Amino acid sequence: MRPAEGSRAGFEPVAHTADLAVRVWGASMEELFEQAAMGLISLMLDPKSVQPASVRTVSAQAQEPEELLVAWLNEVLFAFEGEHFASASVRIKSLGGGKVTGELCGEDFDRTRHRVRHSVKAATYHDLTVKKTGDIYEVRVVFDV
Amino acid sequence: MEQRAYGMIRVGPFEWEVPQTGQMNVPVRIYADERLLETIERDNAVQQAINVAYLPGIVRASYAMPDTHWGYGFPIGGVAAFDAEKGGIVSPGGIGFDINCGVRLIRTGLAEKQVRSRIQELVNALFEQVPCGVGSSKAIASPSDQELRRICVEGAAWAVRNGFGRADDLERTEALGTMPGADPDAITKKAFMRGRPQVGTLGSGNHFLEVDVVREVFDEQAAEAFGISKGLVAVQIHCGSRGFGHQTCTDYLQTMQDALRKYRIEVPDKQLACAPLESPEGKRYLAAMACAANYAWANRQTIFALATRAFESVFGGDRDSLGMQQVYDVCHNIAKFEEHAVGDERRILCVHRKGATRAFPPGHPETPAPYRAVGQPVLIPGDMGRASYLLVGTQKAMATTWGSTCHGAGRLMSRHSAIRQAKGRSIKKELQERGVFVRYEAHETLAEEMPEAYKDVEAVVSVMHEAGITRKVARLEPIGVIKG
Repeated sequence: MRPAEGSRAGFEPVAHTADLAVRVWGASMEELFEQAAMGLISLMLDPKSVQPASVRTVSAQAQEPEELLVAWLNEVLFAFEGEHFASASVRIKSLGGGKVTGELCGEDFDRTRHRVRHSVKAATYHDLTVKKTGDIYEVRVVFDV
Repeated sequence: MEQRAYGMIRVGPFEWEVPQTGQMNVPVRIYADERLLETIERDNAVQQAINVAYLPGIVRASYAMPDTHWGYGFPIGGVAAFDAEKGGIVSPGGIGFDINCGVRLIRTGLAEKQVRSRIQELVNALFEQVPCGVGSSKAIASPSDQELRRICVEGAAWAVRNGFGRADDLERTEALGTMPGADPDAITKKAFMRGRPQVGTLGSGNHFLEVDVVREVFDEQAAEAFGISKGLVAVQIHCGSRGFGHQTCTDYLQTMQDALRKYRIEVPDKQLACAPLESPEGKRYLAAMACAANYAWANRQTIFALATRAFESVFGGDRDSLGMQQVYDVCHNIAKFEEHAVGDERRILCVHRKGATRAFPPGHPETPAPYRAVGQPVLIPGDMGRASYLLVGTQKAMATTWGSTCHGAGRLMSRHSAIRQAKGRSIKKELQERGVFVRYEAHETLAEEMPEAYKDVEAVVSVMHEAGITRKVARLEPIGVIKG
């Protein structure tokens, strides 16, 4: 599995029988976390239908990098599923020492304007390993839908 | 004889075993015919069932039902029992994110002819009454914190107390619709926030509300006890604990990662994270899981009452004059303490069923009184184009699979390939040509859930029938569906 030619950060959906999985890559752990969040957001709704009107800060903590990624994604998911905040973009503010803080840019969910896609239950730990090939980090995250 | 993967051997006409090797604590037992086994072998389900066999305190075998398929951590269609005295564990991933996802079946006294002529009107009324789709909410007034805590403890009884359904529905619900041991203090604020607006909503994905016709009866005695006969209309509700359960599983999977380190438990996949049944972490998860199970029962009980209103608005009269009576409500994502025979001993085990259904025999104290002579009803939803099945539990299930059987058809196609295959087609129109009127919230969901994305449920229930685990009672075919 190689990242797409010419792109140093990104995500793409991959096939999984029961659920949805996203392959994510980035030139740093920060980019990897950002792209994974965008991958998740794009499963839930069309980020292009969202206006970046306000900012919401989200953070997570965990002992190991893989656990931190899952915890972070579940916080991003909660912003939508629990607080009904639709995101257009994501930026990592700080990452390290078992803690991540990021900013979601978007607006309150509006059923009439935002194009929803899937109801994602959670990000899973299943088969989750962050790999580094050359200077590119890569991971595959399985989501339960 | 051809060599099978994982050294699998045939141990019965419909039973396969992966012998215990290496760090496995028990063997793997798979129920399947040769054709289903091929599809099972094609994905990762067998390896996942082997991984479950590594877990501490597992008793006798890691079981996979014929509808088993690749999940995450535990396979879907997996059954595993753990003994607390042998270091047994509880694993949130062995129950799933949708805690107490389950099925409710309601019989009506209406004949197919009466309903078919007004099916569009009925499906539209159901669609109006029962919110569905991504983020569906506000079927009823959002409960206060205090009410939510009551839902956690009371389950379906909360709904009945608030005017949704009747007390006799509870007698025909697994665990009487109330799981004991629930502690709302074990639930996070996040779970309450996600769950608050969603009581009485169907959600999305593979969840549905269906109007069925009893097309064929295989077991007259059991059918009669269940109030089912050929040509009658029935209603099926498939959903779970919504965001409340999803968040609860998420919260405790994180706790369990720390528990793995604390109790030095090694697992081949972090999604199998667990804690000893006797540990504070294990007990707290079970108390939270019971809250989510109760939320799901309150949810299905409320949806049933909303569906009843739709029937009353279309056909007139009331629930009694329409002959609407709950047949049963089962969960297929749950862990429960149950007494089972292990060798010559009676043991209390924590039975995990992830995409598997309880199937208790005649005479069991938990089989509802009106069904005690025939056994517990088992509800197996199929895809929305073909059929669903009503089965009944047996002594053999009790003796061999901890009183468990399959839970549905099981996916055959990924969601992506289903959407690809549906391009340029109208699934709604195709279903209509097959006599099924469908209303849906999202076009993509309908494509992902199209009939051919699933295995044929008939093959799945036939394996369990032939193996003597559950007997077929009736086949139901859909005529109207609402989907998220």
